[in-house]
Amino acid sequence: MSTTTIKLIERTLNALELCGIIVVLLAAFVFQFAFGELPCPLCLLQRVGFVMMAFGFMLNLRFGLRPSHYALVILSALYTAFVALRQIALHVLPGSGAYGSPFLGYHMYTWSFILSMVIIVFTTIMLSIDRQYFPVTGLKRNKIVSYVLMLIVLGFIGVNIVSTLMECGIKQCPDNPTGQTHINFSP
Amino acid sequence: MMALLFTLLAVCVLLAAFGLRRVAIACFIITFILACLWFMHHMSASIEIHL
Repeated sequence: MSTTTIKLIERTLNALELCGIIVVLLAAFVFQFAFGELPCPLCLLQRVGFVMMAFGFMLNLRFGLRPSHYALVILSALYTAFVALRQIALHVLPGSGAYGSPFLGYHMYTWSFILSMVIIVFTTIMLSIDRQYFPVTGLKRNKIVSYVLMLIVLGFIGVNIVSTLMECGIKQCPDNPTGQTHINFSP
Repeated sequence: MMALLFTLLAVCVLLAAFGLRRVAIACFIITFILACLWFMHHMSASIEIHL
C-alpha cells in the first residue's frame, strides 16, 4: 500500500472518529432537550472531555497528521474516562441509585467510559502507523470537510455554553439539577 | 466554570480554524489544566476536603 493511500485512509478515519464524537454530543443534547434530563457537573465535564477529543481530530484534519495531535486525543480520552469512572463509582453500590435513564442497558456515564476506552485503543492503533507521517507531494487536504466539521463542533460548544449558563449561571452547577435556573427546557 | 471551559474550547477551535496551531494548542493546554483542577475540586468536595 502506498504512503498516499495510507494518508488518505488515516484522514478518513480521523474524520469518521470526529463524526462519532459529534454523534455522542448530539445524543447528549437529545437526552437533555427531548427527555428533559439535565446534565450534572460530572456529565458536563465528560462533555468537555469529548469536545477536547474532537479538538485533537480537528487539528489532524486542519494541519495534517501529527503524533502530538493524537496525544491530545488520548490525553482527553483518559480525562473523560477518569470523570466517567468517578461517576460510575458514585453509583456502583446497590441502593445508591443512578443518574439519568439508561440507554441500551447502560447509563450515559458508563457509555462515556466505554467510548473513551474505545477511542484510546483506536487512536493508539492509528498513531502507531508510521507511514502516515512521511512527506508526500501532490496530496491536497480537503479543507471543506475540515471546516464543516469544525463549524458543527463550534455550534455544539455554543449550545453547551448557553445551556450551561442557563442551568448554572456563573455559579457552581448543582450536583443534582432539578430544573433550569432561568429557562426550563424540560417538557 | 463549565461555561468558561466551553468558552475556552470555542476559542481553541476558532484559533485552529484561523491557522494558529501553536496558540490553539496552548489554549487547549490551559483548558485541560483548568478542567483537571475543576475535576479535582469536585472530587475533593464530595469527600469534604474542598480543595
